[in-house]
Amino acid sequence: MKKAILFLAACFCLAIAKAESVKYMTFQTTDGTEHSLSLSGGIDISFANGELVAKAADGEFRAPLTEMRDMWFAVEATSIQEALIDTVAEGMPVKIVSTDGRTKMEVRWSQNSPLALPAGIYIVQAEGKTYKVIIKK
Amino acid sequence: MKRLSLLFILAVSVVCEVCSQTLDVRCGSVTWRYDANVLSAARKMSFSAGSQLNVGGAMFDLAGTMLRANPSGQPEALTVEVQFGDSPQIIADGSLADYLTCKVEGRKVSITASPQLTQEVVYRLSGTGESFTLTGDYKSTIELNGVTLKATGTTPALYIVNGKRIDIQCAAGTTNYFEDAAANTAKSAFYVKGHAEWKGGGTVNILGNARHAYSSNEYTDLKASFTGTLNILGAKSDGMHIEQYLIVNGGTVNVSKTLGDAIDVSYTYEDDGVTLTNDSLNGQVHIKNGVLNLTVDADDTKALKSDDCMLITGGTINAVANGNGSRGINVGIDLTVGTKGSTDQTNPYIYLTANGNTYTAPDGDTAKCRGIKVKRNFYFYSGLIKRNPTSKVSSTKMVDVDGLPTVSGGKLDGVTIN
Repeated sequence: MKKAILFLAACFCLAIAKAESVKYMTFQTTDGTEHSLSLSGGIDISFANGELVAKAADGEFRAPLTEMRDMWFAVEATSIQEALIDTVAEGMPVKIVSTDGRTKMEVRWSQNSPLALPAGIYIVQAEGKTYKVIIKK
Repeated sequence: MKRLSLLFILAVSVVCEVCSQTLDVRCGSVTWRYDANVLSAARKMSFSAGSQLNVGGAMFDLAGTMLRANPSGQPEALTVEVQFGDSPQIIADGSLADYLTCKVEGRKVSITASPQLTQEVVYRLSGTGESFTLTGDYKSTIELNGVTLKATGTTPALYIVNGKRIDIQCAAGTTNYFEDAAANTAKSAFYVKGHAEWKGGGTVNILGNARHAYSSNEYTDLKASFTGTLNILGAKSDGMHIEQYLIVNGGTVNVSKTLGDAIDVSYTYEDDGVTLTNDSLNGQVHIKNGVLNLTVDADDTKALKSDDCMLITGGTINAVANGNGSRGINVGIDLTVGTKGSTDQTNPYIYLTANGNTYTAPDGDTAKCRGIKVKRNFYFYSGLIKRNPTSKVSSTKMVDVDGLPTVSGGKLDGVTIN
């Protein structure tokens, strides 16, 4: 019994470790704006003609180098669009819940319709999966 | 419990594979590979004045730099992979970016490690190129993983300018080749400034077109874990020129076509060049295991030479002295063969061939060809010393001892100690 508990505890730790692996790269410009790209298909980043160009399977980010502040790997995306763009099919129902369990929004997913929400941590449910999203303003 | 452990290990493997992401920072021919999860812990890579980016504490100029974030893969910790070719590529653990300066010029690669580096780095070499130079102050491993280097300039094919312990790891199943140009101004085609310790199971071929083929400024130790083959294909001087001492505990060494000695082990001196370095093994050879096939054809040369004592307790030595005045084994002080009290009459095994005549030097000094020449005492405890019956040098002159010979065991086959 004791061995089984230890094994389960180890698996739990592993699950946490897995949950904490990075999934996005986030770019921040000098005005504080953040933009995340999914790592799932890889991201190529080049610096030419005074501009940063980051190309990923789910999109592209461009900014003048003089306006770049930081970039980092992130576990969560910084917008719901970025979290869902390459994982949820167009038109599928999406439910957004706050951390206190209240439903904030239930919509049909569309890549082109921004889901406007205030800064905070949200749980997004779509196609039977759950995502944690941190929105920073 | 065993089943649970196996399941756990399997789960760890799967999770690690799933979780690994990397960031490649590519600067020309050099790619610094970072673990994305480690970088994410430090969180930010900061831009500086729109011209530089700080990645994990190392500053990179953005001009000419490209980044690639990979959804899978993992950097090999403390490892630098050098892939030679027409355009050599270097892939290095990103955590080393602050400590290593990598330079690629044509088909030549040089890496300088800063004195602040205090962790051992593995430099893995593969492909075909001209030369590899490593400069540093901390112990290192050079892994030969199927590399061919033919130098064309004044530097050796492999040039390790590091006075510390250098592991030469020969990857099993690989063949590696090193050749310098006649213009090489260093000691040898394969040069190690420090202590060279050979390990692994690959084959290494070396040709010295300037002076020696192989040299180490301090000891060379062929470890028991060296199961490979070192072939010295030729040299303008010694095949292996080793200072301090030589230990052979494994592997096979074949030396031929040298104009100097096959293996020359010399005393090492202090910086004044006069005072012997205080080391109980200074100038010695210890053969514990392994196989040495050594042939010298040039006049007045030695197949296996030590400035100081030589101790042979195991292994096989096949020494062939064909040149006039040449010696199969030449010992500066005492020679000990076998182990006191042992009754073994087969191991160590020394097979002697001596075919030369007397050599007369320009100053009139003469040297006689011998299978073994000992300047002081000879102790024969166990093993077998055998004369090749086709040798021109007779049985009674095959072993020449200036001091006292002591024979308490072992077997002499066709050899009378003189």
